[in-house]
Amino acid sequence: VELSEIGAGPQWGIGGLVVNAATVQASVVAGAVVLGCGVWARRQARRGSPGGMLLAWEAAISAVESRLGSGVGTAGRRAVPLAISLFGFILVANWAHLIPGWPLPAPTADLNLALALAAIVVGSVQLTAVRSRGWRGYLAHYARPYWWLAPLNLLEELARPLSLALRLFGTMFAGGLMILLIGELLPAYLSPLPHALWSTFEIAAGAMQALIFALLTVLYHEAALAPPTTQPAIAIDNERRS
Amino acid sequence: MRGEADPVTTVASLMPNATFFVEVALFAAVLGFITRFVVPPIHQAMRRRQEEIDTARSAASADSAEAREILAAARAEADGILDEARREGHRVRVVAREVADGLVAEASRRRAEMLAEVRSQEERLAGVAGAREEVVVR
Repeated sequence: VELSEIGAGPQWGIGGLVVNAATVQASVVAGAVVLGCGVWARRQARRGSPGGMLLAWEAAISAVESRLGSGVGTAGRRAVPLAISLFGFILVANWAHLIPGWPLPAPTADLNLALALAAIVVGSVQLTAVRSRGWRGYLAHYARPYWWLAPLNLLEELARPLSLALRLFGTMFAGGLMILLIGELLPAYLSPLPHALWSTFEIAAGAMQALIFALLTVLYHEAALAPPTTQPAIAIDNERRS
Repeated sequence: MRGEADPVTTVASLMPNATFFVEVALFAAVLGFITRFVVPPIHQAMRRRQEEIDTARSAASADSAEAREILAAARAEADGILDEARREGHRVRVVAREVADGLVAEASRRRAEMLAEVRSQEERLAGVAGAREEVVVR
């Protein structure tokens, strides 16, 4: 395997721009699955007969809302569908390629998707912080606890999307790389067992990454909703817990 | 789909490119649909079910209070009936005793009268026998 081939795939050229075709196709599938589950739950909710899908959505909504506490009714309202959509989308994206015969790679192993999701999360967090504290309070929190720490606070805000994206991308890319190496480096009669073992590990890792991404999304929103005085302590605590 | 676009040089997925913008748009569309069309009806269903639970709970507690009231009233009525029965029993016993005492007294009086009559009869018979002996002797 050539190093340049790792992560390579068919691409589309659209108006001089390059788009990774497999990533987009796999993302469309993941998005369609999330939408399908959503439509299914919506139908059960409208019919008034709670089924398994509706209960799963309700459990997820309750979990996120109880985490966000009182702020969920106002500025933190958007965090609920965002966290749930992210969890479902990343979970499907991480698991789909493990289905035997599935033609597409994990789209989360493409840095572009991981960065796109992280950008949406951070955008939502910043928007929530502005709505929760107002522009003055939002800008003032960069100067807490001391004004000369503003560059570090700004750096922290920039590090969040990067850490979110690279964590997901790194795990999934490494997983794909391992499967590739097992297939290429081991003789054909030896590879099935390590392949099966690694795929099992990938199932757990895929679920864990989806959970971490969604949980961090909720925690960042929770920190954005917290009063400015306690925000740094909560943010540090949240980082430690994660 | 792949045939429509020109395959450009293979670049590793490590490199950011325009896929980023496509993915942002794609996920934003999914998120928009979920936010607008999925979460609100589920919220509504959750609220409706909570209201139904609250209503049923308050109705159950009202029913339970009513049942307690009915039970207390029934218990009070039963106590009243028992007291009345006890009083009636006592009254019947007193009356029965009075009647029995009257009957006993009446029987005693009748016995004494009959005894007195028997004695007077005996005395009269004894007088008659004495007179007969006197006549025989003469």
